[in-house]
Amino acid sequence: MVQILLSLSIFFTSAAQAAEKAGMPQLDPTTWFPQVFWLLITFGFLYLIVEKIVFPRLSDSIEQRNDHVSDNIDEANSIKDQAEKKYQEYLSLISNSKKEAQDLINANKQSLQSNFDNKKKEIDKKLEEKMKEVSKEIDDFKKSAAGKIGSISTEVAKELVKTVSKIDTNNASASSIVEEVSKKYLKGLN
Amino acid sequence: MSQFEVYSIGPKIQIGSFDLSFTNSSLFMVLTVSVISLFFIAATQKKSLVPNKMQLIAEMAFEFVSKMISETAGKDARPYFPFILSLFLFVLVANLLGMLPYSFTVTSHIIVTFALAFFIFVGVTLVGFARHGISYLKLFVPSGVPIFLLPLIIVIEVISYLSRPVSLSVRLFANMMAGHTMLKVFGGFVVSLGILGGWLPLGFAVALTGLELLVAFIQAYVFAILTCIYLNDALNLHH
Repeated sequence: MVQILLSLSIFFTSAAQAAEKAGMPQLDPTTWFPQVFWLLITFGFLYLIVEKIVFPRLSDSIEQRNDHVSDNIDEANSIKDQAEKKYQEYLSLISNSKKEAQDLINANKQSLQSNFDNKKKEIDKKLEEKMKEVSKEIDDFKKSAAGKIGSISTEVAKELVKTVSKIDTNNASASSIVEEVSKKYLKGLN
Repeated sequence: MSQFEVYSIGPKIQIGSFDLSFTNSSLFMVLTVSVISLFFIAATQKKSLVPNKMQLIAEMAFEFVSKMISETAGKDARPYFPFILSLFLFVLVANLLGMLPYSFTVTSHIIVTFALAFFIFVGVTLVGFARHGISYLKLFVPSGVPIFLLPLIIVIEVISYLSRPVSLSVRLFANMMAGHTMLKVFGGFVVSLGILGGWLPLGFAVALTGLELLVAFIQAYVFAILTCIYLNDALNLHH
């Protein structure tokens, strides 16, 4: 408490002393002229240095950097464009070769198919011929078989009649009967 | 208030009735200009594509001011770029050098800030008249104001235009002086309260130092951007 009071009293006395002594050196007109004079000289010197040396140098180096950066950006853009072009080329190349491969596959398929068809036709033709031959053979055989069956039946009938009736029949009447019967039979068959 | 006192160092130079002696104020002006010149010349010695630390700082300052001008005053203000840049750097470095113990703050003197502000005021007015001729006076006649209000508005506009150098200079000077006075007062407390009670004001002094560094930058920025705004009025007559 005492400390605070002491400090407050010191504050007020020192403030009062400062105000008393103040007189504000800034308001002493005798110092004004040399200050303005030296201000003009020093500030003028500073302005000259800034204008002739600092400003051109700094604006130069900043401009150079900006140029460099924009150059690099331009270059990067052109390289990007090239890459894009190359990529498109690559894509078209891929799609072209795909198409070619597809065409090749299709063509091969077709030729194979036609080959296969031709072969099939040929074989079919041969088969048909063979079938015709075979069926003709069968027919011939049927016909000749019918004749043979006739003569065998005639013999069988003659023998049958001979053993049953003890009558020797001549060939002609027996065969005529057999013929009649077989005709009837074949008619029914057909 | 001893830190604001101006005393001559070196021989007394007198031309006619004018005292042009080299003072501590002059010394710090020379120091300010030397620091800026040496730093920027060294920083821009090698214009490398990938900047080193110094070049980076220089370019950051350049782009900062460049952005400030193009945002407030537009493209037409390009020719005044070196002036705004030197103004900003001069005020900034003078403020920062003043933060060093036992140094002198050039911008804590009303005559210095007023000289700068008055120069800007005269320059901007000349630029305005050179660009727009007599129609630059239209600046004082805002459009869309009822005729019976015009006399009042014109008087207000003229007064506000004329008070520009005063507000511009007093703002910077008062900020600098108040900050340094406050630091001085708290520093005095540290001494008078001694080892027992001095810690609190010491902490305040440290915090205030940080605040003053911020104020040093902000005031330089405000000084430069207000110059840009005045320049914008002169270049592009908006009213």
